[in-house]
Amino acid sequence: MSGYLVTIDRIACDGFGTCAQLLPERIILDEWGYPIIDPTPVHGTERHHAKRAVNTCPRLALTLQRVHELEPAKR
Amino acid sequence: MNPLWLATRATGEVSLVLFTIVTVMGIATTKGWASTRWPESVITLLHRNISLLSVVFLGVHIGTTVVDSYVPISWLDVVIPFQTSYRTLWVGLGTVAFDLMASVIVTSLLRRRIPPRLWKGIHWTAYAMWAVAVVHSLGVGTDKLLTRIVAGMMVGFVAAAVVARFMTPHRQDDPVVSVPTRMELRT
Amino acid sequence: MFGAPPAQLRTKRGHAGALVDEVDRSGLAGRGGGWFPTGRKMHAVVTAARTSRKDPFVVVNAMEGEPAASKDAVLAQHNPHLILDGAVLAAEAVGASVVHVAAHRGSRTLSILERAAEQRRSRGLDSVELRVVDAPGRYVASEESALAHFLGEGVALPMTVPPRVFESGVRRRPTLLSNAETYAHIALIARHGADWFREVGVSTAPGTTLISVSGAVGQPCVLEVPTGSSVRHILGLAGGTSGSVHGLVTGGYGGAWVAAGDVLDSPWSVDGLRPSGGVPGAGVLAVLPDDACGLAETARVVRWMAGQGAGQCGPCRFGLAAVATDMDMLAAGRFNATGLANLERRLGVIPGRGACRHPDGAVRFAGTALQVFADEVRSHLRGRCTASRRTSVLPVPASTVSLPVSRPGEEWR
Repeated sequence: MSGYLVTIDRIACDGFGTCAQLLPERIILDEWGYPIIDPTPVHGTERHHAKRAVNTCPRLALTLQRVHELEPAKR
Repeated sequence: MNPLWLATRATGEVSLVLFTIVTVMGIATTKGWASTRWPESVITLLHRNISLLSVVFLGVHIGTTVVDSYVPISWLDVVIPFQTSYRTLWVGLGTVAFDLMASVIVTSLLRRRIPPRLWKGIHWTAYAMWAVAVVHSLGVGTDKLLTRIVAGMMVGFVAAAVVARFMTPHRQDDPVVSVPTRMELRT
Repeated sequence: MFGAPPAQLRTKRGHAGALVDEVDRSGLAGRGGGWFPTGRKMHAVVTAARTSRKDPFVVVNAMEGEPAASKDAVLAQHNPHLILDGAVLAAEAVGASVVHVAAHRGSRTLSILERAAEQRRSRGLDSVELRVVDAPGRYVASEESALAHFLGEGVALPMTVPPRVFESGVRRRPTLLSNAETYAHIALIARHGADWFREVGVSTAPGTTLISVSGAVGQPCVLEVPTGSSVRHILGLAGGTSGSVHGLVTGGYGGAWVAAGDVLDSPWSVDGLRPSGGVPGAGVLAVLPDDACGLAETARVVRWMAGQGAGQCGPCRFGLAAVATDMDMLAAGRFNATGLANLERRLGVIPGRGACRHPDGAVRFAGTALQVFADEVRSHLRGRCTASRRTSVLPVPASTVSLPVSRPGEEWR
């Protein structure tokens, strides 16, 4: 089963929080506004929401990666 | 009164108002001005969607201008400024604004494929684009009172937003997050 | 000093020289703290050079960013040419034509290495170019991606990884970046062979290793011991502990506190120290006397670490600052159980969420302190501290900037 992982460039991230608003199933924010990302891959309809979250980031800090390409996921 | 001419003027003013809103929303996005009812994701998406709406109205504004045979403006004049015989300067400024806007939109659509610094640099010219559009509307508009009122209001909005931009602290100096997305974590 | 290096031709790009296989067989692991197999790293650089069609660089990390470490400085004082021999041999083996040697601006190590490089140049010793570079003094500047970025672009900021430095380092070229001591071992392996290297130490990470022993020991010093030597043995070589001792720092300020009782018989290696929570890291073993306050020492170190970050990533920039404040209050006896629970929650949430491992290290240092000094934590929560010592033990450099800056200024270039 193919899945997609939400991965993040920690330097580009500026803690806007749009990702957590659009993909609360995978992303919550810490007390300083920065995302904590659940490394479980997204499947099916969730992928549409994940794509939206990734594209809405004002700093384009997020990417969606196919699972089999990856090294151990970062949070 | 020629309906194309009416359409040109009307869509021109509407475009200006929409681009003003886009500019202010751009500032709001980067400063993180948000609330529970207007979270950051909504502000960002509105900024992008309204900019596309502005492009549509601008398209009609330009299309009606060119198609209107009363005024000799060609398709080439849409991208190359200061070539018209009719009100060379003011129409030319409209072309300059269009060129700037086109580069902003295109680079934003291709944002993932171009160097981040290039996107950022061109995006900053959006301020210039807006200012040039305001001046264009004042110079080329035949209904002086309307254009002046609208221009005055638009300048007021953007000026207020710019002042607020520099007066409010950088987002990261005071990390505060709108309520629905912040969650207490269990250990 | 050890005679002419074994004859070796510089390899063509994409082909690993014989030395790479020898280092691979030796099982040498990086001595900068990562303990990553060096042979594997060298192979990876060669492969990356082949696939990217770019000539690789070699970088010697002689920065010694850990304040409690002095092994690289001592090694450079005693035998700078061994380091440079190793780096040049490694460069020839991976097909690099330039070796950068990075040391802290204004350090004695820097001048020693500059002089040694000049000696070699004037004799035309090396077939590769040796460039000794002074790099800024921030702790995080010795992180490998920061150092590579500094050498290429002039600013010592850690970069997002992947790609790792061996694939894309200095000027986006594959870069072999290792600790100075590692290159010294490479030189010895080139002369004496992998089997010789494997004669001592543990089989998973053989050879000898340099350890900076400091604090409440008879004779603070830098020791060369086989990997796997027991902590007891190492402390004995340093004159034994003076007085009773409870907490030891292993690895560095990004390493871990361990309780002396748990670790005395543990072998000094990644696997050997793991059960007690310790790490060999950059070869640091600092002994805290019982009359010092482990929490106060930790608070000072964590506060310094918080200010040494690059400020690029929120969880590190804000997280470490918050942890530092928490530790200050705990050390001052102005903390309650809720605060402690909050601190522990923060420690759980910060690691892994920065671009580099700087916050992970600081969090580990703080977290292990809370475990090792659990009794002290309890008394501090009641507003009491049992330590009688008034002077601090762990060296913390004075810094003019206490919080991370958001824009790289002079101290980053």
